[in-house]
Amino acid sequence: MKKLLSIVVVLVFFAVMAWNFAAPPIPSQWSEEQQALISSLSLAKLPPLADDPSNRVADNPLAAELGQRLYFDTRLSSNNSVACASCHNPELMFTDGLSLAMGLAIGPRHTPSLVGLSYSPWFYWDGRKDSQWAQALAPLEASHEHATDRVQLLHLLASDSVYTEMYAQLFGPLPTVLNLPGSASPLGDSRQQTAWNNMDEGSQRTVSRFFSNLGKAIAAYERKIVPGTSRFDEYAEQLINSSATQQGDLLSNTEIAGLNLFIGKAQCVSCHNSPLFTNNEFHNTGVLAVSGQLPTMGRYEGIRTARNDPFNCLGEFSDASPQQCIELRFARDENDLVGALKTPTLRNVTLTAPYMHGGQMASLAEVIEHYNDAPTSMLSHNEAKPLGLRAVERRQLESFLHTLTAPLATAEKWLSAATD
Amino acid sequence: MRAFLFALLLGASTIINTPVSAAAISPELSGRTEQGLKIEIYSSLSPLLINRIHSWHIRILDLNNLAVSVEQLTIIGGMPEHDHGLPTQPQITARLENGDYLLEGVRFHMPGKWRLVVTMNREGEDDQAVIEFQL
Repeated sequence: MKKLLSIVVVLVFFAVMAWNFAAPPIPSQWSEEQQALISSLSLAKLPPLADDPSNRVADNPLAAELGQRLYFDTRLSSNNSVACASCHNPELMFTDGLSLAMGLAIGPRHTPSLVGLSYSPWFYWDGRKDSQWAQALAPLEASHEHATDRVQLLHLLASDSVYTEMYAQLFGPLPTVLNLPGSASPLGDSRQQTAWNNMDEGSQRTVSRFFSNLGKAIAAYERKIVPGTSRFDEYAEQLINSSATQQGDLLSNTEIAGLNLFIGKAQCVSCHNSPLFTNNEFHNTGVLAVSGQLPTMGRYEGIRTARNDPFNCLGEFSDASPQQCIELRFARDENDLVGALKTPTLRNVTLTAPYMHGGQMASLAEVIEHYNDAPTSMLSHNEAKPLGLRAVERRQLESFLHTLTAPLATAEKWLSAATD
Repeated sequence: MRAFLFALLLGASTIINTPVSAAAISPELSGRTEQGLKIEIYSSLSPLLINRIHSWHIRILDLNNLAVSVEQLTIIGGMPEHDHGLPTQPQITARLENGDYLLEGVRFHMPGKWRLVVTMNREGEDDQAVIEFQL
């Protein structure tokens, strides 16, 4: 009897191990539907970047050059040590490798990658900005990031002949700094706000117009940051001629099995879709709040902030007509957006750890484990459902994500500070 | 499917039958209401793709292929298998010269099966069409 029990225990042990770790055979053919899904993820299907009607210099080469200078310039901070590139570092796929962004102080959110971000209609994890140029302005005045202000920036550009010349070519002469305080902003500390309130309305608008132009130049530069062709893309392109899952040696069996899960059982493709592996939409996926913070209201609050932003598409500093502000005019704001945060791209995801809006997860394995469990959300409800992935499947999925890593398609000259 | 609702009160108008010129293009989507009206949807984005905001012309035709006016037009959209609605809040913003209704702000954000429920009120009576399609 004791021997029989031992045999049963051993058999159960091996059965459990086999269930968890034995790789199932991969299909020999992709179905028509699978082929279409795989093809839809290929970088070759990425359309040209659409115009940004709110930014008339979005595709102006000189604006991109001015933007590049501004992007890498640490003088755009109160202690001359923080540039946009400090957190969005080109060497780390325009991220910083930290859980939470570190400017002049630690911020509340994880730094997202800028790769392919120009394709998104919304910016920040909660989508509180509706253009890349409006987004670029906020860190400059945030006390934990650059901690400078729009009037200080005007003084800086006026003191730099290269900036003055480039700005004038794009936007007309810089506004005069005579009669302006050294520092002022409607968003700063009480000293900055008092100085701002002491300025006449005309000066305030002129300075804010100048400030918006800086954002537009930075956005023109950021539009250059686009992903390059990965092993997955080469595989997807070869599928056009054959439905066989094996396409030479482009992907391993493990990676193909991971792709099969990605577009199937694991449901990743529901949100991580299209060539940038993101729908740029907002979802509550039950990620824990950042340690020491209340759970975020997410997009529910973000869309309300965007609507009240003086730098939004409908505002006086936008170059768009109201009819062109389609995303802002027809944005949803309902209760189910509580706790919903933006889907990030998975391109180069192996190089952009840690993950989630607070960098709460150090590895892709942790992220996959999270989606496999689909825990209850702290606020509202988790849209994701438990996946029931076995250990071997979780590894296959992670293996597939490695096929999305590739050098950027961005020209080398944009990946570091401009040299004169 | 969590309902997503957008509606426009079109005013207490009487039904007018406006001839619709022969369409140069075929509709992207179509369906028929319970009372037999034909719904044709012409899209500014063809073929339909996810993650691209665009607009639709919605044409409502009677059995004689004449454009129909309605007092109220309501559309519910979503993914029945995912229990969610559209990512945007499209609105009917104009009635066009040919009788089409202009719907702006349409975007889909996931591949899979989508379902639209087009509801209208005409002479005080409700009518409805369900249109399903795959993206």
